[in-house]
Amino acid sequence: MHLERVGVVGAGVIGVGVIQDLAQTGHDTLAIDVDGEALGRAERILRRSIRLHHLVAGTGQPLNVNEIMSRIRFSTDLELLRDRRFVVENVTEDWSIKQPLYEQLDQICDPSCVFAANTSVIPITKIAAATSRPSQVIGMHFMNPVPLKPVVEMIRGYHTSDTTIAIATQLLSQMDKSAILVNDSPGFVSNRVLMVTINEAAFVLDEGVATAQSVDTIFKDCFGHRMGPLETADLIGVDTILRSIEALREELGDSKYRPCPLLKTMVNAGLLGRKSGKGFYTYEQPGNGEQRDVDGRG
Amino acid sequence: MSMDVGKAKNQLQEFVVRSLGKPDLADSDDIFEVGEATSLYSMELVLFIEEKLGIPLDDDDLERDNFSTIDAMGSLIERKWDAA
Repeated sequence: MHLERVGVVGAGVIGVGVIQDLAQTGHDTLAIDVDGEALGRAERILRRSIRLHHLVAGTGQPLNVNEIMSRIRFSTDLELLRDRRFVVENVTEDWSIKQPLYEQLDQICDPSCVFAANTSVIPITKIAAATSRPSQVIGMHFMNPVPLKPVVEMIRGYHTSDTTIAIATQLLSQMDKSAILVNDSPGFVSNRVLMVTINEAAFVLDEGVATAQSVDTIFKDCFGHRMGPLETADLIGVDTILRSIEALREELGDSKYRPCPLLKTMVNAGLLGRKSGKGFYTYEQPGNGEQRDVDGRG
Repeated sequence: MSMDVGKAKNQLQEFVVRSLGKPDLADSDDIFEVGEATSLYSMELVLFIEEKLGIPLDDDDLERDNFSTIDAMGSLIERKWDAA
């Protein structure tokens, strides 16, 4: 079964990446966000990202921006999802936002529709319980930047059916991606390990043990990682990191997930990483690009 | 365009050296080969040239070779300047 029409709810950083990838791989893509301004921003970013995709991806051949953009419809109206058979949800990692959204989606969408939660931390079984179709809810943890990442962490919730897994795998295949299937657990594999690492890196920085650049260089030059933990935090968004580590503590109840106070300070100060132009590093232009200089910490 | 081409090239060179944190980067060094820049960085370079320097680029200009060294980007700026 080929999935033609896909809905995407939430047009933040990761949502925009999913929208771009779906449209570039030929899908009729419905992009929904409650915030009209976010949709306008998403449209501008998408035009730019699609235009530059061949350069960033190193694929050589420029894409037809207008043709790809014509596959995307933007709206604030959830009701339009009625004709979709697959919806990828990317809203803020906040249960008080996700829970009512899933209740609404459950009411609006066709009974056959599969819901893929693009979450990095909220248990899929918990999300599924907010719907009347728990066997059709699956976790699809896309990585940022979505169009450049060929593998997705796929999460089987307690009730997720094999059919749902097959449908989700089919969609990923249409997007030229593959999945690594894991079982449901707070933070799954990726974030349970990554968030603790980033949190500890923030503690190391906050205690003056090393500069942000030193921390990241150790991971890159000693361990061969492509990015250090603090650069990664800036790419993901410091606010998302804080919410994720708080969610791990809430779900697992272990004090090892205590958020570093520096993360809270940064979020309060609006230092959210690349998307705000400043996080552990300062960036030339918000929303994009490479680190420019290291914050004078440490 | 409010500045001359030499100034534009200097600004670009300063931006690349600063943003990569590589004061010893040679103008002929391939920034992608030496592992200092990720592919996402090419997007930042385009935005810098178009939005900060005010030099619009055509789709044909968006090739990796035009952004791989400071020299190559300087040549690109000169070509666009002469064509403007």
